[in-house]
Amino acid sequence: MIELRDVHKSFGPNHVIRGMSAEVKKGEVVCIIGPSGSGKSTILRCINGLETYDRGDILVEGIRVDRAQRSIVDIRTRVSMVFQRFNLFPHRTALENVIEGPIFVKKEPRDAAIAHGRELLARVGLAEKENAHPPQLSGGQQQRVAIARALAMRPHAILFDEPTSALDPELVGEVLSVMRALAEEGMTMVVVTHEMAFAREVADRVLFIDGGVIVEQGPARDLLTNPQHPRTQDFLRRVLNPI
Amino acid sequence: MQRFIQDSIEFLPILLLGVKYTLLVTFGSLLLSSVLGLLWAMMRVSGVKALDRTSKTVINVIRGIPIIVQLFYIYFVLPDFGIALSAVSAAIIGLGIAYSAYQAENFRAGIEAVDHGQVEAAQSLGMGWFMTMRRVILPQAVKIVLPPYGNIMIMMLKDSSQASTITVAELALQGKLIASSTFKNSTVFTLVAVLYLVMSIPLILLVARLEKNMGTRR
Repeated sequence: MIELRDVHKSFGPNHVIRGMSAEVKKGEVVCIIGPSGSGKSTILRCINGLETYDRGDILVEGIRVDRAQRSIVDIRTRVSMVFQRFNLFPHRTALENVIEGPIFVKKEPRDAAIAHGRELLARVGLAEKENAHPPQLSGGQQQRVAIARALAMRPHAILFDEPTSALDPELVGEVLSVMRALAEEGMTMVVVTHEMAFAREVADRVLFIDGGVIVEQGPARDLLTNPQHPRTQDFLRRVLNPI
Repeated sequence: MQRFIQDSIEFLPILLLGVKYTLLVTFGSLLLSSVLGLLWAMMRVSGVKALDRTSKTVINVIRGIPIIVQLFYIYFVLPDFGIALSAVSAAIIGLGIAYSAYQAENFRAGIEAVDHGQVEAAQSLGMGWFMTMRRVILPQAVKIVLPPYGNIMIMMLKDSSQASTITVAELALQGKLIASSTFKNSTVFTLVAVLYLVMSIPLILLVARLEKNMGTRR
């Protein structure tokens, strides 16, 4: 479904991704963990072309991700993105946010898009908020609208870039439970996260990234409870016992 | 005072003829400067180097030449190249071009003030550049741009008086003509000043109202 082959990326002199290779299969939930600045958000953003990469290949369902090609639109409609800071359109209501892509990018008929949009808002528990503008919603509600907006594109996979990092602690749970439900329905998901409990419970596989390389990857439970590489061990020790 | 009122009644109809041209030039050039300004601004933020640089140069050239000289150029020089415009057209085009530079910088500031996350969200939905601008960025930029836009409207109303230098019989020129033939300077120019003020008030109220409407939508 998504394949990385020896991907490299630099920001000026800063070589942030130093050869990453990995694969995400259809229906799989993969969590990416690692210290900040390790390149985990960057690699995620490369997958749907929000960032360019310098070397190697990223393939989405066999199509090479290249921002300069027309095919990028196709890739972006197949692989949706959920952002750390939600990035909802503040001048549109919750429902309008959700139907924007289907109507204007996928050219779905308005009525069908609205019906589907309402269904999705109900699915994330926000049916009664369809006319609210984003600033009137809590962070957790905004993020759930953002997930509904991503789902509205009928994507084959969803990328989550630290979806709960900007939330107050008491709002994290509502977003994670929506994500968990998605995972259980078989959605392919790549999640950059610091929520180790979520990774352990929901992910099929975990990638530990540090210094621009994938240091270790494996089944979620194995990697999180019994990490092999010293850097993974060190990272998990610090995340799980912060004091 | 009675004298003033009598004179006013006599002069006002003539001055109102001037008001007609003042409004025509103001709104004509406002429209043109907005369209051109938006074009320059879009070129600046297009991410295409050649367009960006072209637009920057155009803006700097326009900003660097006094409005009055631009008006002279369009009205007196262009006929040498076979382009003869009426005084009113020349005034609208001249002021429209001159002000497009300020409009452009204002629009650009508004566009760039919109959070970059909005662009990314639009892109991740598969939107192209134009659709991102139209559906996501510009509707948000309008709100940011509006107060300075109101300022520009009022400045343009007043600067429409520069059209008098190329023979457009707008308010300032009508006033000057009456004053020089009647020597009633104080009456005439007081009336002219009041008329400009009266015309600017609706603009001020309009902007205030627009700002309020936009504000309640958030």
